[in-house]
Amino acid sequence: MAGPGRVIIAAALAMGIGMSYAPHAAAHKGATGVVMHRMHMMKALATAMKEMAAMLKGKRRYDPARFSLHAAAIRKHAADLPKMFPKGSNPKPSEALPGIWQDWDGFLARRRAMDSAAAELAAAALADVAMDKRSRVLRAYIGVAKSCTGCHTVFRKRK
Amino acid sequence: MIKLIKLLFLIGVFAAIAAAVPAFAPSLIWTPPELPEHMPDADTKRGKYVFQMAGCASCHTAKAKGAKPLAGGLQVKTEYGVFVVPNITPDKDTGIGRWTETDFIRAMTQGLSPDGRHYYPAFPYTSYTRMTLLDLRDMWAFLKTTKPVRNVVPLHQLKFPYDLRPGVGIWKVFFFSPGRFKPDASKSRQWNRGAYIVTGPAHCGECHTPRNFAGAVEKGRAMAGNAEGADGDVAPNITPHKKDGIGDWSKDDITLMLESGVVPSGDAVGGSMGHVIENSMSKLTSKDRLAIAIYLQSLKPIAGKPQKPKKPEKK
Ligand code: HEC
Ligand code: HEC
Ligand code: HEC
Repeated sequence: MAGPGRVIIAAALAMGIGMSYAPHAAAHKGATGVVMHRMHMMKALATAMKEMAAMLKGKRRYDPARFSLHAAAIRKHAADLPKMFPKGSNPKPSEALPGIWQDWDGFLARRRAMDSAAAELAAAALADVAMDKRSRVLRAYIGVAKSCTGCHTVFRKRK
Repeated sequence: MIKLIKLLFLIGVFAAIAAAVPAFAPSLIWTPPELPEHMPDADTKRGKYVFQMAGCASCHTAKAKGAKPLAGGLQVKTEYGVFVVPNITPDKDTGIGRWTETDFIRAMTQGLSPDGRHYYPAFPYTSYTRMTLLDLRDMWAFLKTTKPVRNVVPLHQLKFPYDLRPGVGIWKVFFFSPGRFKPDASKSRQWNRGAYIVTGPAHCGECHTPRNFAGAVEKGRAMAGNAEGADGDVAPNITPHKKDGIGDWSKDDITLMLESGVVPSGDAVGGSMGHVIENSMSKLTSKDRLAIAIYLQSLKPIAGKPQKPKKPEKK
């Protein structure tokens, strides 16, 4: 990753934004191994989305720097995503659909969509540090949110 | 439970044979609606908006890679068997290219085909019947501008006796109340707009309202959740009940969710609701999404979450 990216990640770690999904003591819904790891990763994504939404809705102080950090974290998760889904890894209680491995290219395209939406979020947040570009940040946030929904629509089945 | 609906179907079939007319129920003998005198010309741009709101593509466009828009073929698996969704492109031979506007309005509001056969309520005309003539006309004008696709769709594979279409006729007598949306003058315009969208074109209740023994929505528990939604998905309780519904969601929470699919916990919906967001809700104006939120928040809070019936363990 290029220089600024590394700085952002270092800052993110310093600010305690979850970028790692090291095994937690408590297994998630009884899931183990890689399934548990990716559930933690997805949870981290949800936590980021929740905090950003709170800022956009005015429930928390709006801070474009937080958006930059979350965007970088989401991009990191997007990069790690493929190896979190080894072939056929959807034993109970996983919500992953077998379609992931039947249409691996389609799955990767959804991953890319999340990555480019997060890249736009990073750019929007950077622009907002200089001047008021909050509406661009909002639009970019919705772009990321839609990329989550897009993948879940095709590749996840709630139990 | 299933027995009773089976019985209804058989009665329907016999009655239809006896009367030798497909539409034997008096409430279903239909005269074309009279269009108001000063109807504006049909507007295809507006029609496209209505079409998106109504989520037709979620069913009429198959999910397979390379599936052509609106050319049908999606298989909908239900306890009654498999429905195969028809081609509604303007193709003359395999789509609805030979239909008139009246044929279309009749199908959407009465659940009757041009030759008088009953449609199964797997086609949610039970909600579309609430739509205004203006919306239906504009949508029809838009549909005619879509690309005709030649695609022969296989027949439904339904179990006996549900494969006997006249049975639907008797079902309709008990469970289908045709008629346009009636605005409530005591409520605001925004509320009425939301009520119209939710109960009519956007057909939220088709998934979020539980169904009775005969597969008809339970009006008393409107939007209280349905354990057996489309595709076997559980559609949650979306009444403003604090514990079991979305009572602790703000208006912003609802509109953001409708636009993007992300719920207040930060998770994103998927499955059949994902299609509703992608094909339909994300394409509406923010004013219309706000109207939906206002209406949802005004509903009676209903307790109880939909519970998936426990499947017996494999022996
Ligand atoms: C490329 C596809 C894809 C993308 C993009 C994606 N997800 Fe997921 N998500 C999945 C799959 C598949 C599962 C089910 C994993 C399992 O249960 O094995 C899942 C599960 C989840 C879960 C449930 C985790 C648990 O504890 O069971 C949450 C929360 C979640 N995702 C949030 C998000 C958010 C927020 C985003 C966007 C920022 C997102 N996801 C983007 C595919 C994706
Ligand atoms: C929930 C799935 C679903 C949705 C949403 C849906 N349809 Fe359908 N539609 C069906 C099914 C299933 C049938 C076949 C019914 C039957 O054979 O009795 C059907 C039949 C039809 C027919 C009759 C076609 C024929 O050849 O006789 C038309 C026209 C039609 N739909 C138009 C629409 C339009 C327009 C929309 C959106 C406003 C829409 N449908 C939304 C499932 C759906
Ligand atoms: C085709 C079926 C279907 C239709 C139509 C539908 N929904 Fe849903 N809805 C679902 C399902 C299934 C879920 C659960 C999705 C998930 O969690 O992944 C859901 C989830 C939701 C949620 C989130 C609730 C929660 O507690 O997380 C809301 C809000 C919602 N729907 C509102 C609506 C509204 C408003 C409409 C009409 C505009 C609508 N839905 C139409 C099936 C449907």
